[in-house]
Amino acid sequence: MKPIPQRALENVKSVMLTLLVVMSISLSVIEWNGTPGEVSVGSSHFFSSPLYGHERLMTDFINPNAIWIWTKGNELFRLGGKTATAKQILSQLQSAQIHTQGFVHNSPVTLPPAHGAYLALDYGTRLSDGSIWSYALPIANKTEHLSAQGGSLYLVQGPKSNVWSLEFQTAQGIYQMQLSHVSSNLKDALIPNNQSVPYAQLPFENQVFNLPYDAVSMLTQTWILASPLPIPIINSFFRDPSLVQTVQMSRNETAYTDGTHTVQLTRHSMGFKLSYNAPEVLLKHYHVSVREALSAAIPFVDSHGGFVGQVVLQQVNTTSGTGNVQLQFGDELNGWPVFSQLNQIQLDLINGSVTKMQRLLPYLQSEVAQERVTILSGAKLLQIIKSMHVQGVQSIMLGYGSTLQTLNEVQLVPVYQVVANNRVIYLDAQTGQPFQGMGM
Amino acid sequence: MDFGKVKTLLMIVFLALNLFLLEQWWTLQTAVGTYQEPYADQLANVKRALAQHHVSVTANVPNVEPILSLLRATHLQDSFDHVAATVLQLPLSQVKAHEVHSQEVILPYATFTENRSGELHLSLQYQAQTVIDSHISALHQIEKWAAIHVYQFTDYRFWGWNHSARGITAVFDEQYQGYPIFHAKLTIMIENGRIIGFRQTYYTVDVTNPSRVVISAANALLAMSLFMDKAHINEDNTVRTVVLGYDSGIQLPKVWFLTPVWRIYTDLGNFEVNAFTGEVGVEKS
Repeated sequence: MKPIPQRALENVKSVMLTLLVVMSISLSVIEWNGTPGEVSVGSSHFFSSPLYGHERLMTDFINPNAIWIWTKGNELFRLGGKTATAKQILSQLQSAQIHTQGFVHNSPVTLPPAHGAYLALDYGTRLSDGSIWSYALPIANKTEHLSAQGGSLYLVQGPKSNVWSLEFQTAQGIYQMQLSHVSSNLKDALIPNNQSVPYAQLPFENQVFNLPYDAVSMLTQTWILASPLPIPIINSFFRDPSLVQTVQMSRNETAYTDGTHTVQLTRHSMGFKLSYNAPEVLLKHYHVSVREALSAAIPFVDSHGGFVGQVVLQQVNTTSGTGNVQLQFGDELNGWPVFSQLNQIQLDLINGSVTKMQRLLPYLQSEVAQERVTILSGAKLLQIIKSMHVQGVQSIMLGYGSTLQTLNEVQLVPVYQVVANNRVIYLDAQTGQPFQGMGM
Repeated sequence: MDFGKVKTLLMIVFLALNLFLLEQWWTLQTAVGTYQEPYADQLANVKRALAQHHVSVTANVPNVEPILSLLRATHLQDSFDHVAATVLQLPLSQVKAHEVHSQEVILPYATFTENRSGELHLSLQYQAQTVIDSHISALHQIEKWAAIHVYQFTDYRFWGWNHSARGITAVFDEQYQGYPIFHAKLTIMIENGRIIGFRQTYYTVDVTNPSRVVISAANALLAMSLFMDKAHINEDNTVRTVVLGYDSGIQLPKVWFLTPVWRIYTDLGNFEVNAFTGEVGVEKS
């Protein structure tokens, strides 16, 4: 037998080595790509969106709109719900203990208290459901069955400096809590300081309105408007953004839908307005409280753009028997409400699921200029309203309106919001002239 | 060391490496094989999960996972006059002559309307009503009548009968490639053995991209079970039917996007599971 030449053997070895190397590379690639991933039922999460603001806790949202101080000398003052003094008042109540509590039956208690000094914590409609008592006032954590009507909780000092009485109106009558171990510094809150604004109770059309007593000094501020890109936040509303279909509804309106959820973008004077709609999940036996709705709404907003500015819970509307809760979040500036749609978020929840959300995508990012201005007193404002022949006035509130200065600058201007015959009008708080704002 | 010996050594090393990789590949294939649980076992697990919520399953759960797409749906493509001429079996010119306003035709023997949400409604007077012969299959006679009077009747398939105090209605669903569009219904009303009219919703549909495989009916039932966990639903209930079709939870003006859904009929109401994303909805009752 003829021996295989050494050279041919080496060639065969070279070919075999090359084949072995190629095979090892191929097997490595197959195994790298072939490892099975986790299989799940659809997608269990929404896509996350950029967070324009910051994550918030439930307690951050539930502050009083204002605290009213009625002094011994029968003078009225207003404190913003987030001022340092307001925070002190709430913290001084934390050490308190409930001595006795119950409905007032045989005592001539009236609300507001007829005599002496008191503090009134104005919570608006937020305690109407009763379930967020423990966030508003931690000591009152066992009153979840009580719905505070009229919105105000009255604090009246008792015979000792650390004994106070907390009174509020319910459908069943006046409810009273005798508080002991209240911080002795709380009585100082009955003496107005530089954060309190003097107010007067002024009669108009057979009603009494709380309005500034004299010409108050306020700030007019200019803010830079941030306009985030819409697509990342739109995608966050869909389980699978690759399914999303775009429909041009009109020149100013575009809809995005996957057949289950819809996001509509409408061009607004300030930028895009976003409206989200999801199908309603109607379950007869499954109704949730405002607290449960709020605890579903806050993470929902956090994962769809987040809260911006100093947003608080402004309004709560519940429709009894339907499981429907409407929440409106809005911004505050120096203790005054911002009436603009900027930084405002509206949510509708049914049975604990968010079915609607509306917000403007642009938001107030940073303040660049401010100017101190003097606004009209309540008495002068009422004269102007009378001269304008506005009738059926239901409420008058001081706050801020917005107007566009340049393409990305917004001026926040003090305005009076007048609700008359269920219509809202705004008057410039410096001149009393109708205020034609933008994004209002 | 000469180069030939180095090659021999490298060959031994790569041979060992390839043997190791082959073994790994074989293990992986076996693991994937066992990972794909048989459908019957999946279904048994889902039935156990539902039983914890006091839900029994008597439905025949389909074992299909077709490739479907979202559908873009609009109302009638044909003009109302054209549709009315078909339904009332009149020449187009006569329809125009009897026109009261753009969405209603009133004749001595029949009224035909289209409401704002696009639903067609035919109401027949006594003399125009067709009598159903009790000796022949009622459904056969209704289908024969509908083939003449109902707009695009060939797109509908019989779903079932509804009984009420006033009479019986034969319910049909519009189909797209064999799958029902749940909100495009045709109901033919029968009173005292006579066809007295119909109500019809018809969608013109176009397919949109992309197409993809839907989740299985077992996974849809599992999604429903997870939803029941979340919503604390624990009432006694029975799943009667599970059907794959199209529906939309959202209506935009003039256009809809219908998504594939598994519709789960139960004694206490109907659930709809999005067959792409697994999201669960409850039908309004």
